[in-house]
Amino acid sequence: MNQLIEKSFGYRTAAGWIAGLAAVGLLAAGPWMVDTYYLNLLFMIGIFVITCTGMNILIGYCGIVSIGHAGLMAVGAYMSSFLSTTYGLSFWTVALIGMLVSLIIGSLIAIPTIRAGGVYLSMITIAFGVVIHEVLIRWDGFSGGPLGISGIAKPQVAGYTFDLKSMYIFVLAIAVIALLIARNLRRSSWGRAMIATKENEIAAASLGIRKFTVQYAGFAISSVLAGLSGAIYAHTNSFISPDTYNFQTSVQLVLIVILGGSGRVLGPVIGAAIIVFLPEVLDMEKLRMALYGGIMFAVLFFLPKGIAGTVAGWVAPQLSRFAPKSQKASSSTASGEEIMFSAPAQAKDKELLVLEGINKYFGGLHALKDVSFSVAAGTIHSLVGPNGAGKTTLLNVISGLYSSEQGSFKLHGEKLVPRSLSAVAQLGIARTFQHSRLFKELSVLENIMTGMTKRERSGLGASLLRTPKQLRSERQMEARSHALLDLIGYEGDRHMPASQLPYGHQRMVEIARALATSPSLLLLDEPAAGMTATEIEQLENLLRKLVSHGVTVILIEHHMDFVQRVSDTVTVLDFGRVIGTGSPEQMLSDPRVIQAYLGGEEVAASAEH
Amino acid sequence: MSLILQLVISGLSVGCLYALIALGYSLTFVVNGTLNMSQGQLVMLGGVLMFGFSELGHLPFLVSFALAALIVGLLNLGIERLAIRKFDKGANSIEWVLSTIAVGIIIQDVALYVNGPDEGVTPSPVGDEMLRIFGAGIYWKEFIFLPVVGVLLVLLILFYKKSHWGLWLRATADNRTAVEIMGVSSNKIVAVAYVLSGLLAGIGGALMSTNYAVSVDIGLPLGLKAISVAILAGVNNPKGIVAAGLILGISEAFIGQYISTAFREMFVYGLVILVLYWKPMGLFNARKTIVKV
Amino acid sequence: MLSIKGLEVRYGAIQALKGVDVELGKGEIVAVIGSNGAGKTTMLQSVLGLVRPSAGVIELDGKSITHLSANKTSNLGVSLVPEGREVFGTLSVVENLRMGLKRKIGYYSKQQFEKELDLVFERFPRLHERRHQLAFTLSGGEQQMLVLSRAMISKPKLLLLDEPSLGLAPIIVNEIFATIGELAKDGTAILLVEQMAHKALSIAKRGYVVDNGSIALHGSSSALLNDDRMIKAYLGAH
Repeated sequence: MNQLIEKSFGYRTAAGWIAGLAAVGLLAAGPWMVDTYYLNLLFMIGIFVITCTGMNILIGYCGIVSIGHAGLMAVGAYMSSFLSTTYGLSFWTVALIGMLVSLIIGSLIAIPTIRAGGVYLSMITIAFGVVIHEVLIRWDGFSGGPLGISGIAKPQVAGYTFDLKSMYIFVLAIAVIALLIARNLRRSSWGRAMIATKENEIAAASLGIRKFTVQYAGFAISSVLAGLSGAIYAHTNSFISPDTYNFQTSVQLVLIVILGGSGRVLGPVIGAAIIVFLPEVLDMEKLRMALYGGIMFAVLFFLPKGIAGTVAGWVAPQLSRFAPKSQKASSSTASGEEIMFSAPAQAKDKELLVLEGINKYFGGLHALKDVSFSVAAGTIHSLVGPNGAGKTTLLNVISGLYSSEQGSFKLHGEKLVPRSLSAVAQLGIARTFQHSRLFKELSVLENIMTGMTKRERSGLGASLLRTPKQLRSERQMEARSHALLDLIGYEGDRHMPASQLPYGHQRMVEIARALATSPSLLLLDEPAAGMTATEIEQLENLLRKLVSHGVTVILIEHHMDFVQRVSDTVTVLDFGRVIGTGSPEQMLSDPRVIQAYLGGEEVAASAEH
Repeated sequence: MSLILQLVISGLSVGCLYALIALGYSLTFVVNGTLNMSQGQLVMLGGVLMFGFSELGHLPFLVSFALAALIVGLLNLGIERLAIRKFDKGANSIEWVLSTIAVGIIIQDVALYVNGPDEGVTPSPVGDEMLRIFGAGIYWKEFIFLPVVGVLLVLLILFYKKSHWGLWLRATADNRTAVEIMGVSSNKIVAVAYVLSGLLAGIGGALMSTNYAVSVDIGLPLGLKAISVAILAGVNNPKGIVAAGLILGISEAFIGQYISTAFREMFVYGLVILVLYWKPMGLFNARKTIVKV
Repeated sequence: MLSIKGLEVRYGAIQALKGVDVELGKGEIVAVIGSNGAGKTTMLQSVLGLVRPSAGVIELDGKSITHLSANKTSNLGVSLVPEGREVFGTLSVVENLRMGLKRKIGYYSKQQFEKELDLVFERFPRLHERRHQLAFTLSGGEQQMLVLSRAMISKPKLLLLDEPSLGLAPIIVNEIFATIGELAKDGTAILLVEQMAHKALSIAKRGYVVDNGSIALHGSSSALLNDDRMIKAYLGAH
């Protein structure tokens, strides 16, 4: 039965391909079916699709809303037009140069915007667009000033000069390639890393993903595509002027992406079609921008996921009824475990992590005071203490989220300087967080695969083109992820978005994601909080299994029974100070510990009876 | 010498306007982390309304001024309700950036539709007389910006420091939950911040129209320039904003005089990009935020 | 005065409170104790209206306040001293205290506010020394005194205290608790959430022990202090 459904799922993909090919075929027949007026509109849609697919990667995957991409289109258009009209270079050369210059200028913008983030990001991109527009108007020698450049040569191949029809076919081909690239990217570790960083920067960093790298990649791709579409447009239209590339155009580009559905591959197609055709249908000359403003407002208000996103939201649950219920990895669990743990089983009692005199201040608050203890390899070391004792702060310092003022760490006997979350993650220290930080837009399986980004990542080019090597590595990651999900005993649907997971499962999946980085040390911040008794039992089994594979665990937990059962060693913190380290039995019956929890001197006395 | 003085004074006048508009961003940004990207268009609207009331409607100067400021202030109340409140979902949300940009586009296009591309200068009540200082000639109608904006700033500071609403505004900026606990509706406080910010925009626009021709497409570049001022100073730093506004006004006057007017805009935005690269929280800002997990 | 019946609160899929009943009379101090994550803070937050209950009724003087928002409940005479203090760090000490004035009495004369200030400074002379300092420069203990005074200035009939001892040195905890006792004598009803069970039960007449979202035990303070099950609720089985 299962096999049958899985087979029909295979057909579903095939059906998608056939429908796509048919649509492209139909569009390719366009020039012979419609008149020049409509062909021009179709051509414009194609231009917008190319630019907006890049912007879709930037907005939908990376979460960077650039409101200055018209500036990058202008760079491609003007660069290629200038070179072609002044030096008579061929379209193919100048288009390449246009893309390159657009990439360089895009990079110059990307560096400060990514660093600044948030609101600032929008401001810089707007300012960039305005500066470009200004430069084009003023720099007569290059841009022809407000009048622009005219008489731009049409592309030629072996004596054949492109006309609107053939240019349209060319744009269609490029648009399809751009869409395929966006689709491939979404299915690669680069795409997952982009979405992960957008959704939860801190969690992504804790998996060793550097925000700058992935967001820069998104910016670069979108710059190149914007430059390319600019060049194509200029050489088809033969005439460009600064007013084609003003603020309004940039807003229009963003509108196309969010109207279509940001992060949806086909979103830009839908958005561009509507934005190009709507004013024609309404036959509007005036108030066009007000119309766009109104549409943008309506989309934000009523369709925050855009058209494609909203439709997918309706359709997906219908389809998932037919999805196979359980998709276990074909590999047996035993061999699955073998491939998961790279950390060699280490002799117990050898010190894995040593903390010496760690101090941390928040303004006047002395949050950690001379914290020293060591964690033996292959053990479960629990941190306990009353609320506000500094446990999570300590975890944040070890994992590189906070810097400490004094003190030193040693990992595997070597000095460790926790510089940043992502740097620490790459040293083989993984962590989870007190509150769920799953990447909600990604599926359960993809969440786990994101944990492997750092180890398995193929090159950006390979990811965009989906090379056989990249496919192999994707399959490997998938197999390992299934094995990890088997390990934590996750039985549910592995392809559903993580946002739909029940709470207990979220915590377990987060642990699996941390394990996907193949850590030698795992830091868990209250993993059992909110779990049911059965789930806690599962967690306990999992922790034991991990330790048997040589993973060392530092555990913050308030369920004291649980701490007592699983811990090899317990360190008690109070007021940011270590009051003691020892076996669980010893520590939890220590009068000082009871006093720390219950307060008051009289307790110490009563506990001694 | 007299030219330099002239440049300084007219730079200061323009700088006052920048500071006034940029303070409008700051007012709301500190309270709930959002700002109205259509602030520039609101300034434009203030100017257009001012011209309309006083020149086409023949209303007295002060009545037109007050009407223009009030209408823009109330409009901003509506913008807060429609384009901000629903989209204010924490530090990383940017929907409000897009929704207020949409509002700005609509305002501008509707203003163009209603008003047309005409531009006009509202005659200033101080007339077209020249003020002569050390041989430098400066129009009174331009010079008057300085004392007017100065008085406004003093009023604003007094409101902030002395009144209950001012206290609540500052408290909401500090800790929104605690304000609710104290029995004050933080939504109301945010709305008040937006009205104030709108008033500043309206006043800025009305004031501007007494010396400059206000056309409908002036909003975007003006708004951007003011945002640049806010960014340069650090959006949550009102004193810095005033300083940055004045400095920018003066440097623009000098660059325009000695280098080129074309270069002026690039200078401002280039500077913003550099500052953000080097000091993302603004030049005059030292505060760091702590991530909580 | 305050009556909570069958209170349930959910955060998404987690049920933080699973049907809690608590009663509190005028001028009474009742302690709510329990380990971290038991649901104590959630209980206080739902009384004030910072958290919406999924079931149950909360009544103040016989009137339901179950679905009121925080600022409305607060204006009915309920003050919360939240966990982690929540001072207005960028406001001065006096301005923080001014925030305690309820809207209705906010326009009262300056003299009246001065009188209130005198009372506060009499009780906590350290706040007087620092009255013009910004609140974030105060030590933890001083901040706790400040928020307690801020709540007192609003003259609440019901005071909700969330872990006032958190992160404070024992000597300051004693001072704070002494003030809490005095407030109750003046007729304020106090719901005191604490981790430090012994401290809390020493000033409260009655107590409730919350464990995993439900009331595990309740009774007079002396009975609870001698109950072994209480230590178990905190530290697990031995």
